[in-house]
Amino acid sequence: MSTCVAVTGAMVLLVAIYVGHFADMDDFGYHGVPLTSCTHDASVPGSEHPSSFFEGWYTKLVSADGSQSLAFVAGAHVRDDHDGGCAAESFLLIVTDNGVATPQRYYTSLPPTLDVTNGVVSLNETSVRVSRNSVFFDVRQSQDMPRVTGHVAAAKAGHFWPVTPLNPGAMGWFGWIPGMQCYHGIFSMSTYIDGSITIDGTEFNFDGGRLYQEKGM
Amino acid sequence: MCARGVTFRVGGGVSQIGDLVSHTRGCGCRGTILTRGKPACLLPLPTYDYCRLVFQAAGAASRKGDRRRSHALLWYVVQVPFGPTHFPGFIVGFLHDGQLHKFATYTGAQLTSIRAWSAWAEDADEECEARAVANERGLDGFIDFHVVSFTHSIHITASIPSAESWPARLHAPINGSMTPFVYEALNGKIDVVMKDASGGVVFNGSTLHSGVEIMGLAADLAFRMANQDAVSTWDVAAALTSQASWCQLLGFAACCVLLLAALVHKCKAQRHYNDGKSVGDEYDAWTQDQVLEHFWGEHIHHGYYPDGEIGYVTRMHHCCVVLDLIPTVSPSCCCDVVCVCVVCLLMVFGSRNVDFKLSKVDMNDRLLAWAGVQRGVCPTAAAPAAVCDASAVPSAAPSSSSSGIRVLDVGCGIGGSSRYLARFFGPTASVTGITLSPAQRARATEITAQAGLASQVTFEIRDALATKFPDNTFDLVWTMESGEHMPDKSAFMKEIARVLKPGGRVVMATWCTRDVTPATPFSSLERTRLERVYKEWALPFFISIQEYQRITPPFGFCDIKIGDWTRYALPTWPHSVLEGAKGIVWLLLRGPAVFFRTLRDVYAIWHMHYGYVEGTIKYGIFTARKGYPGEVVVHAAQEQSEASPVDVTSVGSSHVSSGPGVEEEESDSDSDSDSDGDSGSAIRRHATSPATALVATAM
Repeated sequence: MSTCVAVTGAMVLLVAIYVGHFADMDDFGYHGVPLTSCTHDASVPGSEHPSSFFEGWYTKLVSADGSQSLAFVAGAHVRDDHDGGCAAESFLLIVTDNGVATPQRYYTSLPPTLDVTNGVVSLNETSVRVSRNSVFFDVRQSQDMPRVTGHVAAAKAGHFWPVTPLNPGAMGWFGWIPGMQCYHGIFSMSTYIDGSITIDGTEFNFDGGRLYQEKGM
Repeated sequence: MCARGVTFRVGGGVSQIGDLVSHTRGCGCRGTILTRGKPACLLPLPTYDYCRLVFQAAGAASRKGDRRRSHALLWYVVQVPFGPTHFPGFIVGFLHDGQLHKFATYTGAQLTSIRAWSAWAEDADEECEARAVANERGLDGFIDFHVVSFTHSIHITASIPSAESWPARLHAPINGSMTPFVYEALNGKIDVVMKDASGGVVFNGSTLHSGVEIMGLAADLAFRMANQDAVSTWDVAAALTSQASWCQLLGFAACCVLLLAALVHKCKAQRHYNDGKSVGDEYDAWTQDQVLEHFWGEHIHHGYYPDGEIGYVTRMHHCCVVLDLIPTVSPSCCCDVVCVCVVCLLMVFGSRNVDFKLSKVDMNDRLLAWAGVQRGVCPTAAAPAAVCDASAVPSAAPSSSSSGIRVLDVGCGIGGSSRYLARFFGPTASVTGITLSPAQRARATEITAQAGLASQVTFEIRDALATKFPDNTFDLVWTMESGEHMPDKSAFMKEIARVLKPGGRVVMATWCTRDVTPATPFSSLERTRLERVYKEWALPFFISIQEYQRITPPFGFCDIKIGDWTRYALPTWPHSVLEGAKGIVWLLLRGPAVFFRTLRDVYAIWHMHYGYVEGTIKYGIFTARKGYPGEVVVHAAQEQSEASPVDVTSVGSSHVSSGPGVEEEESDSDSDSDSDGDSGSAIRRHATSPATALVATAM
């Protein structure tokens, strides 16, 4: 009987420890602060960027008939140099397949200009904005990247991975384990979308198409 | 949702491509993990072997199509870095008809097979089966894997065709400490087959233009996944101590204490089969701790579930609906907790179609009906079937009344079936139950006296392989899930034949394996699965129900009929766990020894259930009639090509035949359950079949 009580008590304690532990996480929030460089001002509330940081958004768009698809990753990275300094950059990768021409890929590395504000990620220099179930492109032509314009938005609510306290997203309860190298979340498994994106004069029409979106960091 | 998936309240609004979407009291996320974990990348580190596969079935994409028509698949299989070590993990999400089916390490799903190879992976030169397939089909990449969850299984095959300039090479950020690049393809072809627990195909489809990423050591990862590399406790401890705070360490220490307690208990009482005594000892223990009787009632065997489910699937579906609703309807963690509590209550106390204990009585009813045994009628009075020569039946065959009918219940447990049979055949019948467990015998006698059946039902300690009853004693031998404990199945069947009266019938239900042939031997996973079940429940080995059919005829049986009722028995194990969850307080009050022993049973139940789901373990049923002296038994040849040899056995002769005259019934996803359990899908092979070779001899 005493062992039962001890075991039950240990389990309750364990749960309490973890709940209490993660209840502190609000204090470390970084949302609302643009990531523009490695440096940060600790005196500014909410600007406590970690010295090592990565965040990337993967979005895949498929046209209604499945003949055209486009995937892109917008992300940023900051790495601690262990000598007091750090290095940072952001990047954009686009891969396309229209089922006719040779599939294309475009990649460009940029200064660290990732802006994460209330769930909207913006690569300001290239005018790429990504939020839940929507994408906006107004990318200037450059050496690595063609002119990319257009926008796509959700036509109606989509399917996403359920988030609960016990299973916080696609990683399940593994999402609660500290020390993991990467964490992934699924914004949309399948969302019906409207819109089009034009890359170097070639239009990708996604009216009635679908969107998949995930985030990793 | 964010990577950590922690929900919190937000206010204000966000401009999304020109449209203001209010997020007030909505669901937001925060990325605070950035300060404590050290995420290096979205892309994998060299140790982060990684395959991702994303497809959306374009054919299902329709503006007018509602949510139910959409399909989407997400798959990750990774070697998850964790501090100084790593462990294998996978996540499969399949959106089908508006419902998300999750197959993940953390949901208890199991990866039963995986093959992977990519021309772009770091180990592309390594010889492996997947590479051979890819080369044969002219592919740049090939991934094939099979995952089994609690309710479904899914088989996914991804093919990446060869193409110039494909796939795209995604560079990692130059300053990152991550793998320099990953290959990203959009032209993958994905084939998906999802089945339910009974093997019925729920979805079968494929799509082109699917996103596929493969990087790192793909083939090596597949190999390690297939061999179930696992993180060691020591590795976890090392990882935590290097990064965790004191409260995490405390939590980890508490986990270690619990784990240690469980391991100590496990090591102390392994239940290997040694001999009949070990079986008796185990049943003594089970009887004395009263857990089985409390949860299972007097019938300690599988139940019969007409629809292949108990409503637990339905219940789980309802719970999934609630879980899916949580992120959309709950603005706070408090609300989440309430929803989770609702789910727990639903799981344990939700609507139920089949009563756990009554399902076992139903199993008895159905099995007797399937065997053709009628209530109140002596089995030896039943007319011989077509495969036996009715003219050989002595004119002095027993009357059709139940007067004096004698029944033997082999492996009687605490006497549930014995009492059931006594009531089934009426007050003039007498039933003898035999067991190896003195505790079971004592408890069976006690319950029987309380039921007022002491004059009809008696219990004895006897070995089923050598009962020492006189020859031709019983009209019916009932063996409900005891054959699996027999170390010599032939001797067991021979003993049953010996004690049966001519014309008497044996009715058996037993745990079996699938039929194993030289062409379809057990895989290593199947062998492991069986070994675990054997060791946990004092079982020597199983054989297939077809094997029972093959070994039986020499002992004088005819009218042999076998069946596979896996589908109808399958829900028993998850149902038992649900019943256990409902009675968790009672279980805790039984003391730590009983509690941990029961937990270990859940471990065995897990393997047993997956054995059923995978098709390794079968629930076999068998019935046969003992022929009359001089009665000619005609055996059907097994195959047309083997029909030439003469194959006849005369009852009582010592001639050994290899091909029995049988009826075989198999349950499949298409067969319906009749009230008597004898479905129209039965495969029957009679003596009149063209494939049958007949020659008769008399004794």
